[in-house]
Amino acid sequence: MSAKPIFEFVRLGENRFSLHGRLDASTAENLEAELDKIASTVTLDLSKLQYISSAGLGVLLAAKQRLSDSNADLKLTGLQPQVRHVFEVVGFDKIFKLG
Amino acid sequence: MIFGFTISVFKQDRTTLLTLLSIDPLIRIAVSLLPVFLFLTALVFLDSYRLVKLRAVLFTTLVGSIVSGASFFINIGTVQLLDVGISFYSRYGAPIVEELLKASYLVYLIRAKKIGFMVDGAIYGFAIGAGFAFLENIYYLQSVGNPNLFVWIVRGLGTAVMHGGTTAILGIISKNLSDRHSSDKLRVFLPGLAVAIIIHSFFNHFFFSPQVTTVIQLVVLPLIVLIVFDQSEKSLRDWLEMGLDTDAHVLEMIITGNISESRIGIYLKSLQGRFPGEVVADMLCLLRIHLELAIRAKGILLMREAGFRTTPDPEIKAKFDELKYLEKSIGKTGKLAILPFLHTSSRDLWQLHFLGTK
Repeated sequence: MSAKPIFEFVRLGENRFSLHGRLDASTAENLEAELDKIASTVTLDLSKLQYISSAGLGVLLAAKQRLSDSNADLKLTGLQPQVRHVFEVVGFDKIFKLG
Repeated sequence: MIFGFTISVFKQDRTTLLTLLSIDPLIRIAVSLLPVFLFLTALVFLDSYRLVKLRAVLFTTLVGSIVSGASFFINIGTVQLLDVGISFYSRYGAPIVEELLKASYLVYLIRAKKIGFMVDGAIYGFAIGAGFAFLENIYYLQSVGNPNLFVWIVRGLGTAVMHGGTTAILGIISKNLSDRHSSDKLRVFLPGLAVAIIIHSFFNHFFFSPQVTTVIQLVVLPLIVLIVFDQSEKSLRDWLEMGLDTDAHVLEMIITGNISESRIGIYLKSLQGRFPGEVVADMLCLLRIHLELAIRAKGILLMREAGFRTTPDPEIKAKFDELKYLEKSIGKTGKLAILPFLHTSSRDLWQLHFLGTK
């Protein structure tokens, strides 16, 4: 029986994805590789994301900037309270519209 | 660098300064400005975290020019007082006087926690040197009459790079040593100052022709500064990521009330016997505000690195006001008691200063 992956990037629909697990220094690169393939407005559902660290924040920030440069957007929804709090304390709630 | 030549011209014609701006002033000033600020602009552009404001760079450049003016008169006076040969003084005296004066402002910036990393140490250092060279170049331009423009550009560039490079290197070494030894005592500045003086003296010996000297300056000094830039930005990134994650973890413990079983919580409990209950409560609040501000400062740096513009947040001012109130409430003894858990390294104090001025 294989161990549950620490982080998963799950497709929910067209331009809609869900992040599962933990987004930290070891898994941020996975997210970065997936987001780099996206060139249009995308919504990320974070309701199943338990933890985010600065590495993950950096990847989301870079993707937001890249998409903004091409008149697209990165939207975040369903943040868990502890994840939402990190965004608010860091000041990223002013960059991302947290749904 | 051209001190020897400068003093002999000064002795010959005391009205030189008075007629300084009377001959093609705009062209001369522009020619002396261009090479100086070209390098400085490159350094500011390389600062991906926008650690140093343009306004601060310009002010520091002005300080460098003022220092240049002061060193001019100090050098003149010293030569006359010591009655030494101009060539000897330009090799062994002028570098000490000029590097000491340039270093004084850098020492102030580091001790006042206005410099957080080697990157901003390098930028401020180069700005001081650029301002110094700017004024020196104006006088030199007037002293030699109407030089060939290409010769002048080379000379201007070479001097600017030398002065900027030595002070940038001084800033880099001093900041590095200050961080390593967690000290801002004057002795941490001595190694950087020694290196700056040695480099300056080396170039004043004119071992090579002016063209070769300029090429060496243009290649070696910027290379050193760029290598340090790269290392410093990596170090900044590591500090950002580790620091933010640690701070966020502790903050979460405080907010969720899980702090009591942690090392911090156990220690705060032990203070209840020595301080009134409301003071211990304020200590915990102080710790929380410190963490929130520290996290916010790192967040701003991350946003700048990603290319986002950051705007002043009224919440930050409110938190600083609360911080001041809490510090007053718990008093000096209380602050000493929780010092182990407060951010007190020079870099951590810098980040609070950085946040406070944004």
